[in-house]
Amino acid sequence: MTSRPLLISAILHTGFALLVVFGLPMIGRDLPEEMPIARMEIVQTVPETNLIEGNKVSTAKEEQEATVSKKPPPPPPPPPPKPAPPKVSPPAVKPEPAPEPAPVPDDAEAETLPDQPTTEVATLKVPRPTPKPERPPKPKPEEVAKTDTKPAPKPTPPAPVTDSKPTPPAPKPNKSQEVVSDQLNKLVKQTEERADAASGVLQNLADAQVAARDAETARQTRQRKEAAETVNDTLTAVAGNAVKAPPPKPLAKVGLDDIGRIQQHVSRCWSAPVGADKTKVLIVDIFVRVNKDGSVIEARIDDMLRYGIDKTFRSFANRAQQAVVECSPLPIPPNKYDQLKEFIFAFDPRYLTKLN
Amino acid sequence: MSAPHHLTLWPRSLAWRAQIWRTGLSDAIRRYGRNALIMLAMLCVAATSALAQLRIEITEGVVAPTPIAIANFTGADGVETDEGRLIASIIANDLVSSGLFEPIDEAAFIAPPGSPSIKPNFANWAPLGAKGLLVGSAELDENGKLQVEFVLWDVVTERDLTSGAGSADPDAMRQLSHKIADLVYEEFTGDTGYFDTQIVYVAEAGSQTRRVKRLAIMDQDGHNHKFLTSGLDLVLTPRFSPTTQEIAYLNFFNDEPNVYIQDIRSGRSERLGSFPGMTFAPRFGPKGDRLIMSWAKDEDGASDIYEMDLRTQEIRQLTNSRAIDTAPSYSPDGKRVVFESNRAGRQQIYTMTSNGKNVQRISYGEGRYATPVWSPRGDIIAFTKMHRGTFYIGVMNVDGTGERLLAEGFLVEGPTWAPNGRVLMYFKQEPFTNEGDGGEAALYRIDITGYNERRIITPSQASDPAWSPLRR
Repeated sequence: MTSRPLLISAILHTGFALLVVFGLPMIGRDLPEEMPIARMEIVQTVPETNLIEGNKVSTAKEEQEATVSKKPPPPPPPPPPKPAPPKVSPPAVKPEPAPEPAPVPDDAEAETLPDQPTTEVATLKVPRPTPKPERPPKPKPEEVAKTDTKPAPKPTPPAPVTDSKPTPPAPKPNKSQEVVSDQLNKLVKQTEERADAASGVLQNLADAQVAARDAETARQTRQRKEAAETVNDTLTAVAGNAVKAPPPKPLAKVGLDDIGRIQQHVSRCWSAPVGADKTKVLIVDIFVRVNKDGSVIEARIDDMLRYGIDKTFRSFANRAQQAVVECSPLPIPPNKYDQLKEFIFAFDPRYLTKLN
Repeated sequence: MSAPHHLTLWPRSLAWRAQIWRTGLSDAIRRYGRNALIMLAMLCVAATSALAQLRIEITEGVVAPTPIAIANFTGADGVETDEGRLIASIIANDLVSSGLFEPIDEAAFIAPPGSPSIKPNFANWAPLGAKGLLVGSAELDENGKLQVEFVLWDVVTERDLTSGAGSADPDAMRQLSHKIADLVYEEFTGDTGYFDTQIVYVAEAGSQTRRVKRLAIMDQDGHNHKFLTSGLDLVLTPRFSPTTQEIAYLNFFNDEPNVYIQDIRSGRSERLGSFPGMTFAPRFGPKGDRLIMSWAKDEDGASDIYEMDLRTQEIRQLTNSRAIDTAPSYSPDGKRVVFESNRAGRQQIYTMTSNGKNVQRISYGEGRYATPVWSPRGDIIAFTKMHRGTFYIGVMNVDGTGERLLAEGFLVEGPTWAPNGRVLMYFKQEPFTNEGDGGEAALYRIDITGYNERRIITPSQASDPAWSPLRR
């Protein structure tokens, strides 16, 4: 009884299973929204795009091809927990009702996918740092439902063409058309055979049909080729150009002094919580995205579960987020923007509580 | 405090306190487990994709009071009222006295605040440097009760941090304001507040030889001051019960010191029991059902720690030494006791379990250590230290390490903790002159960081303070 092949088979199967389980897109990273009521009414909602950084200009046809083959983004998470036990008389502070689409006038990249109501409170869409006096009162900063904005394995097209009318659908109707034209061709052939010395009209008709068929075939071939290219390109973009990609160009190294400058810069804005309870571990992660000029696009508090439960953590997280927003723009060296366009600030107050 | 006030405040934070869960192991597992899972997923996908997320640590910050704008509360028509101004001033005073906030001067406001139901125009508040903005309204309804609403805004990120509403009898307005101040404090520091508390202390008057001492009680900001005893008998070391409106203190009746318990509301006082000899340094247990104290039965100068069950009146002896064991204090979970003893020759600090076992000395520095008090957070112990003629107030870890001295003076003594474990109050006494003057005693408080030492204003001289728990 040879168990070795069996063992190898088991290992390979397990490996494959793991790959399937872990390699597939991770939907809904957040823990479910069963957190207790946010005491803040803010839950607010300006729907926010699930922005994918792609650079392929898509035509309507390609977009339609792509969407046909890919799953749409997963259904939105359950609606934000509406707070307010009835005994609380809410000061009606909710600045806007939930489904108001966001005027995000300053951020050109943000576009709205129609089915993304948002729930999270803690992600901030940061207004442009220079406060112009006539700036319209900024609505509640908006949040993303998806916390993972890395080039996710969800290749929705970068420029959602929400108002594109659907192009004439491709394969199926073409198929029936093909069948029809096949039959037509047969008919034509028969007719041809029957009427050899036929009139010029018939002959012309046959010629015309042949020509049409050829054109049709050519068109379909071209379509298929383009579709394949699109799929290939999209996959390539997703996989980070790993599949038959050119060797990556060497990135400028992010040095310690770059990091140090950023640290120093943000430390000036962080109101340090000295004297805090040393018995608690209070490291707050703030996920940050910046523009090329260092201005902060997004400053999102990680660990929303703890945020909802732990009051001390909440306070720290709010202050940390405040610090990042206040210190925008960050000193990002422009030639290292690619490495530094998004990262995490880990605010750690442990060393602060050692005093005196 | 006569008839009970009808005072209710329903900020969502109070509901919160009822359902706060300690983030424990399960949460850590969830958090890290989830992250581990994601790392694994990313590793598989990331074999072909970009580099791992960069993490930049921020470990330093700026230690400075948080600038905050406290707007006067408005009335029915959105205009400031007298009550509104008073409420705002009480809140601002509380916050500034903590040393952690810097209320922005009203004169600097660009625009008047609106009512709490309107979202403010943050362009009017950000230039002031304010990080927070508190707006509220206070109106008398037709029953004569005060209806209050408030919202605390985060000016930087432009969203509301907390809000709430409450109602109170007009004469409980100060207490309501303190509660709102507590919520603001909690929101910005993450710590529980301590503004809605009282201080009980010994009010002193008279010369060195003819000192009159009376028990007194007041709000932590000095208002609503009231005397509790007449001054006929000498009183010392008052202590609050954590659960009831009672104070335990030492009363010298017929020159005999004994522990008495007084009900604050009724003013009735009664002796704890009949103990021959002297009982002193009483403290309540964390649930208010026990009392721990020092008892000197004989005249041989020794005293031991005893615990009394307040319901059954049973007494239990916890220490049995030939030395003076005194000044006991429970840990917040009631499982351990810290006390002072000179069994090793000089006054030192010891801990033991609450059944008297496992006595361990924890003070080892130079000098003498006395009046230890366990912090409500459970992590440190405050004490009085005497060394070379100078007194100090200090803190140390529960195992005796990390000793830090916060205040010093000719005589500083008797630290007591604010309920959030962040602020200490004690009293300081100036030396007497040869002519018998001097000797002014006053209450002081200080943050455990050693900053923000402030004197508390009292009608007369003061000593022996004790901080109440948060009022409910």
